[in-house]
Amino acid sequence: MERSGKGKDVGREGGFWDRHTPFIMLLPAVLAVMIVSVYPTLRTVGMSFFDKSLLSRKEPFIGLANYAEAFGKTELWLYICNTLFFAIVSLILGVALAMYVAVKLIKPLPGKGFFRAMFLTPWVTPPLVASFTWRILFSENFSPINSILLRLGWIKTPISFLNSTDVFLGFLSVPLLMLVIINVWSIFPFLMVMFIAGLQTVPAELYEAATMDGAGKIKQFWKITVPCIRPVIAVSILLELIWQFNNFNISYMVTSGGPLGRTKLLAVEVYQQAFTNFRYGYASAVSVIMMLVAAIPAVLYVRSSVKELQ
Amino acid sequence: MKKTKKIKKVIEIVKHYLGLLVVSIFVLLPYYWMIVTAVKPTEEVMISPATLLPSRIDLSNFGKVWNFLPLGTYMKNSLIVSAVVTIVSVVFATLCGYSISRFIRRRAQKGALILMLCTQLIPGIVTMISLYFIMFNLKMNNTYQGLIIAYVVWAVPFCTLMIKGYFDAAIPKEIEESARVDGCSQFRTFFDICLPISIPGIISTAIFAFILAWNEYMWASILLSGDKLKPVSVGIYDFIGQYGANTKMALTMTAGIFITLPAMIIFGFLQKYLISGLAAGAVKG
Repeated sequence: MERSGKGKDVGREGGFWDRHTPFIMLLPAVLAVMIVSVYPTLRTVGMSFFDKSLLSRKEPFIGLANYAEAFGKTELWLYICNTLFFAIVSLILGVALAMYVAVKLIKPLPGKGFFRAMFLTPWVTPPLVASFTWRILFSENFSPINSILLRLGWIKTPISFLNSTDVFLGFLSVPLLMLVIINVWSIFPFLMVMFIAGLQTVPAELYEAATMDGAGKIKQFWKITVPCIRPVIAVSILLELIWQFNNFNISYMVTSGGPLGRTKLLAVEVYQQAFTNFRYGYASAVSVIMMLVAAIPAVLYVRSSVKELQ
Repeated sequence: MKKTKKIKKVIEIVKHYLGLLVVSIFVLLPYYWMIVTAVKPTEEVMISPATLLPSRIDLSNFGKVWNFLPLGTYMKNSLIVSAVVTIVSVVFATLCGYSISRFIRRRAQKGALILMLCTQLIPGIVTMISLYFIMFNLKMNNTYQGLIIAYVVWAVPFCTLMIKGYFDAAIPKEIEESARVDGCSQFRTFFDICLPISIPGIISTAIFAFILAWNEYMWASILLSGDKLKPVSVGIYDFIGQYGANTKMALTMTAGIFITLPAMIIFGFLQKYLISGLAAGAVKG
């Protein structure tokens, strides 16, 4: 701050430490992120041009060969499709559910706080616990869902939610849809909190005026609610889209990518190539491809956030 | 006329709670099944098709689980790591977020903000591949430090943005300016004036960091090989892997209840702050 002193401690205010305090405050976080996040990321990009694996002693530079191998495999395209489908569909369903609940939970009706707290619980449930429980809920023999359907006589034999390999539309399978359901369960609380936060800022007079003018509930939602909280919706959708694109836990913990890679997501493929097959160079290449596919929403997010600044 | 209006209102309220009820069933289904499986008598767990309610409540699993896996050690590991991560991330994020919030006109602060936005978007797995080698060379695999350093750095970007949003929206600059005029140093202004009234924002940031560290699996599974330092997520995953998914189902569920509880209890006490803390930041975008 350039303000020179009216105060009693003039010397210190103009002092070196005081002038540079804001800069020094940035340092711990910025340096940590640079060293432990940015630098390794750049190294991974570098590693993708080398044949680095547990078996190769020499680690020769092989240019784009890792990338060529990755794109040459039909599986990679399957994983890309899986990942895009998983991220986009669970996001759409998650946003819809979160919005449905958020609109209800800002109304001043009894039970508001109770339902808010309850709906947040999936967020604090460790993904491992959630995944394992859902695995049983969707299992063939121990699932209460199958049990109910059998008792009702709607099905003759239990449904195998997570093992069916029937494919439709080229890549889609029942297990992948189940993963989407599980993921909606785990991501909607965060979206709900964001939407509630946004909805609290919409002035109630707007709705009153609209009701006077005879606008219906649905019209009010699209003409008042959505435009008012558009920034919150945009930020949470972009963030969540990127996070879900990078999702690892659910696919790895529920199905380990199976059956036959039908539910494998890119993050799981990278993890297995690197830490099960020990093909570090190839895994790096796939991870860079992954980063590039996610770059489009990422750039949009950064641009919209920076624009907000100006 | 008046009557139809009243009926309409009743229908509306019924619809409201009916909708919430359906969502509640979806949300609570896993917890219901976790508890039911944990308290079923052993012979009932493996019945197929599954019975929806236990014939009697058998709490023996809650004692047995401690003998089958070193849950106490795992929980201790997770607690130590999560606690340190929470403290360090909050300190880093608060300092950085405050500086960005108050001096955004300056170049360094603008740069820091863009850095935080961008790193948030890097897939964790991309960083992990080479971070593993770096940690290995520094002999930090199989240490708490290796876990803590990585978690702090993954928590810091979002925490910084969250707390920055909170400072922007909830703490008026004027209070600090008058302190500056009175001759308070920059750091004192932050520490004595701004921090004490920012507790809700700081708590919500802390919750976020704690949950991230408590729930993380991928990096811990890469970095740790011994049993001694494993956090709960890795410990229980390996337990499931060792016995197969189904044979120790009831015990796994019981362990699941134990490791979900700490996070839920903390969260239960603090969730009010979380919503208000996130809210202030979220609205600003």
